[in-house]
Amino acid sequence: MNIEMRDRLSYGAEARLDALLREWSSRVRLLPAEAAAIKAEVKSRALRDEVELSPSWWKECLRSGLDELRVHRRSVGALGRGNPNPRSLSLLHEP
Amino acid sequence: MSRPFESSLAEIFDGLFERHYSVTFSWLLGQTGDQETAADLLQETFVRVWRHIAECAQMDAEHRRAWIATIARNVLIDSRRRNSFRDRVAAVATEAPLSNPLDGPEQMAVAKQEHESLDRAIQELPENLRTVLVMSVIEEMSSEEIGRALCKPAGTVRSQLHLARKQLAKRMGIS
Repeated sequence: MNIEMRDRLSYGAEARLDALLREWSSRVRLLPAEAAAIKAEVKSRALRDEVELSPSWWKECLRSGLDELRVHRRSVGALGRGNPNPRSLSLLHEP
Repeated sequence: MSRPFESSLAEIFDGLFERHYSVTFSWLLGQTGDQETAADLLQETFVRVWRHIAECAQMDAEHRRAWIATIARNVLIDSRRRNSFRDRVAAVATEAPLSNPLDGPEQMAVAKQEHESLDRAIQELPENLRTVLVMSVIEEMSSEEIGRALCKPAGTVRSQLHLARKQLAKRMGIS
């Protein structure tokens, strides 16, 4: 679509509109501090997601649970019983 | 302990954020007409960027820009589906700060009224016109740059900018 001259705003109107838009822009523009706060919040949420969703986190839990179970089995074995206490198995299922 | 791969992904994320947050915010502001909503959606956009940052590591700059634009668009669509979005946008920022605390009460009232009129006039613009106007005003992007960002010919952007300004002037009673 061509912009015809008769459609144009007057010079004064253009200047007034520019001034209003500059003022509006200064009010709604995202300030660097606001952007930094948003970035920090993104990273914080990402960290929470990492703990909640990451397979590596669950593997780590499982590994530490197994380690604890091994320690428990050794201690039970030292008492002369052959099988681990069934309660110790529940370590694997505890959050 | 942070591994080298993870720290390089974090660096990529930081670079992406610094390079793209402003233009993404402007686009979201143009689409929603509301600063607070745009900031919320910007945050959601970059949360999704972070979740898929490994996919981004292999992309070139142009693909990254398009990828983030697609994520922002999806975030906006999801938000519109989820919320009574129009209601929230209509609630609009009528709590705009006054221009100068040193002004007298009358001047402050006039300035407040003018801010509200301008906010309303911008929000009432059609979405496509508002988006190019916001990107032009806030980002100071040229028609060519806006065209590249929105996948529109620069001539179309120029026409839309002209229409946006004309409609805005009319709504604000500027002639």
